[in-house]
Amino acid sequence: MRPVFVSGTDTGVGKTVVAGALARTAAAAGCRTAVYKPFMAGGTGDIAVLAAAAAAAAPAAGSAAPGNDGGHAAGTVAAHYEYAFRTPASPYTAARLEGTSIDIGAVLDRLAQLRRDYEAVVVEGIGGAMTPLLRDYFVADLARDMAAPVAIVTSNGFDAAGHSAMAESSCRRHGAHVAGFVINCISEYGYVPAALRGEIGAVAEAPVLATVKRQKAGAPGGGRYDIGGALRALGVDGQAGAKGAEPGAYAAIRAFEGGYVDGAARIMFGGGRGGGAAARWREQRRRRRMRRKKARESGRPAAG
Amino acid sequence: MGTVFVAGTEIGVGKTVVAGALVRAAIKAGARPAFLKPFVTDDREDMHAVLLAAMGAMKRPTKGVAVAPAVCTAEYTFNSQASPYTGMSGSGEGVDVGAVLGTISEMCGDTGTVIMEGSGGVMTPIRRGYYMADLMADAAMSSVVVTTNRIGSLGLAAMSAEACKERRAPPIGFVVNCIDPGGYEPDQIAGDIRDVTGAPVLAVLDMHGRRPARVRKGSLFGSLPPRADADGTIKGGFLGERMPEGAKRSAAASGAIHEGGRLAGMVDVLLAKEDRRAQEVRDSAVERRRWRLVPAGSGGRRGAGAQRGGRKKGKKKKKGSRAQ
Repeated sequence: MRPVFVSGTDTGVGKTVVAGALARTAAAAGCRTAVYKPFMAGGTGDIAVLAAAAAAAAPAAGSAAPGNDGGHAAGTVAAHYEYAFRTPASPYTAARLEGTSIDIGAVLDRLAQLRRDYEAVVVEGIGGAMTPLLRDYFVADLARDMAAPVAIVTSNGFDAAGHSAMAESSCRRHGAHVAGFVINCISEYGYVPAALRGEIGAVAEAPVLATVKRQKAGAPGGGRYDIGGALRALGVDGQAGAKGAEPGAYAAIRAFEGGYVDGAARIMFGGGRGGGAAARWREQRRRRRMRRKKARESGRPAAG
Repeated sequence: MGTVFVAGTEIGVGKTVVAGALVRAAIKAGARPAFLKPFVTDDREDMHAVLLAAMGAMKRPTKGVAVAPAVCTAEYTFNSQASPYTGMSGSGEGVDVGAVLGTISEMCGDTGTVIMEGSGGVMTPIRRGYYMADLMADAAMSSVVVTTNRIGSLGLAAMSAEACKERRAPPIGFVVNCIDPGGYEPDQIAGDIRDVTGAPVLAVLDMHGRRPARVRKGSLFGSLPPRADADGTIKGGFLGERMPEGAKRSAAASGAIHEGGRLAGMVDVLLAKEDRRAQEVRDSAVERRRWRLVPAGSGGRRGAGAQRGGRKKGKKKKKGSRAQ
């Protein structure tokens, strides 16, 4: 199966939550799943979130205590990263500041290894689609070299449509295949999801695959899953940021349980050589066209 | 005198503050700048802010500046609770790009020094298939892209630079507005933007700890005559309007930037004489974009036509017309 690449329009739009939900979807479907975040900056919390979201044990039925039945522990789930920079900055900047050099070959080798060992691999990018990794090598280039379909995560802020169009055209220009967008409603005052779906449909060519609804602060979940156990089993326990993984992991698990990313998962994981995505996209366009046609025929006479 | 288009990587990067500082600098240099923001939120905060910044530069507010507040103010204000695209096209008619370009062309001919401000980022949609970057190309001004020192802005800057290049509106450079105390170091981000995008950084605005300039108080709006057109229609009168919160803050920031002398490089651009070709590009764009006018309710440029075939044709047409 091809790896799946989760990128975004910007930092902080919720890539990790979406990637975590996708990974959990794969794991719950019984796939041996690996999550891979090649670059991290300013802490290693993201890999802990991904790992915990994919592997945390589900609560035992009827009790508040975590059970051991639903989890996908070490062996079936793995979490990896390549570079973790202390500086919160783009990998290009951080590597120079910290005096390390980035070897893209090592990242691709690791991916090949994971693809051999696991059935599903979810790769999370860093920053936006055009965050520089080297001086002239960007996240979009990495997605191309990984030959992975890209899901572009976008927030519902008022820049979302413009940024989505920009990220998509950047990916295309760099040769990466955009499977579609995932709208993550993180902003209370931003777009209504339906409006944003319409607007992205108007400005971008790829379809909107999924919409993650806004999650209220303090939504239930605390203590229901055995996050710590999952992290220990995967060997990402005790790292900086692992403690703060809980809210992110819960957000991802809720996104999975709410079925918000199902649409994305079907297309990203299903259908061999991207045929699934293309077929679905064609179907969507056909339906849209039919709707327009119908509206035209039933409503006012055709313009012009 | 020259013309500058102030674009940004996203909403809230400080385009208005930079535009205000430029207006102020132009006045100080003895020019009569006009300011134009075709698409504004309906509280018109940005217009107020720039006007206020201009006031601060003038000895007597009644003389001097021809701040023509957004020419299309009446037509293209949008609810501040909506995105520009939804807000502007929500009426069903969409934006008449030809009319906007006509106004730009007219203003450039009028005063010579024009500062224009975009809305949102460079790829903010204006109407189907027409983005802010296309407007930048059609306006044929020296465009600068404002960005911040926030973590993540490097990627956005790279993305914006590519988008501009693809839409044939390469910016003359970036302005880094350091609004995030926890973000990149000013020199760091400036150097990295230069390296990654290949475009120069014209100014780095570092305002932390700087005392904001004083804003002239008094009956500002009462004393400024709204600009009247030849046919007598008043374009954007500010008389009696309540000044939105935030306009004063923006104006003060503009003042501080100007007084700090951080925009010296851009002021040179602003005051340099524009070449004749720019006006020609602008004028030809006015006619070229007229055809985009779509009757009310038909839902966008290609809404009425067949989807597949229509799209390819549309693309070809655009390329051909660009080459003219």
